Amino acid sequence: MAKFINVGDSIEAKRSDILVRKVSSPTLINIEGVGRFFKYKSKIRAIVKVTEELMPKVHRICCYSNLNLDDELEAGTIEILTENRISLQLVSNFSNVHGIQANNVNAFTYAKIVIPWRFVLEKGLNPHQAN
Amino acid sequence: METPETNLLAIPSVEETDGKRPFFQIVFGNQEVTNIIDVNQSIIEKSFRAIEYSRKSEVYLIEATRNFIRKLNFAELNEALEDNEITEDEYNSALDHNSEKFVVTLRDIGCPSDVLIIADLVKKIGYDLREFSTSEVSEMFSVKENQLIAHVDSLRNQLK
Repeated sequence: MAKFINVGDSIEAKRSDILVRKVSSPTLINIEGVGRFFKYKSKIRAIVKVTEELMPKVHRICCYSNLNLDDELEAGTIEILTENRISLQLVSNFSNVHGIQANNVNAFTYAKIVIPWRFVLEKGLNPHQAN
Repeated sequence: METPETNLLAIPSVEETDGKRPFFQIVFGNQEVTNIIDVNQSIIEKSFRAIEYSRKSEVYLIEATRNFIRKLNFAELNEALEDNEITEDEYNSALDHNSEKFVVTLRDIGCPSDVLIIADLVKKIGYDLREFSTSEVSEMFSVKENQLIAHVDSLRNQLK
């Protein structure tokens, strides 16, 4: 497991947990040769975690995606693609004092960091390039 | 000299112009003034590129408009579901049977130089309304985001 925070970092999972404070209305996209997905964009803060690995463990959308169990993205803005339409319960804060109920997504999930934390941007950390 | 019936003529030429052999000359005018335009390979290639650029620009702009309409349609469909105006089954049925109305399809970029046309269009649209992300541009023009980024990087490296 690992936590990823850089712009362009992505995960792909058979099932995932999603924590979001705010999310935009979905759009529907069809990536030719891959499939149809509902696309959401989180705002303010989001965490997306792999709770079940892909079977077979092969990326579908981006060859740089992280596929391991418990791999996690955390950032300001994350794009999330799911095969099914999902209703995301929003989380008002991310305090660890009280347990937070994550949205369990029982469908293929692809997520990518679009805007990372400010400190990451300021450090200019961007080791990845898209395929 | 006989007066031509039309004032537009194309005359095959054998003369050298600027070191390049013209393909043909266009002659137009009247009995007092005669204008001659030499047409060589370079002019034909530039004209062809300009026509191709305009044609592709139009295709991308129409696709962008259609994608904008698809997003509006999909937003309205979601709203109808949330307001219980339609059932989940009706929602799914609409997506399955009228997908062209709602789905933005991301395709392979046929020619790497198409990203220059897309970049030109985005620049003309302007950044005063919004600073577009690559993902938004990809959805706008129906191209795959990873290819958009890869082709832009490749062209940028060629210019270095």
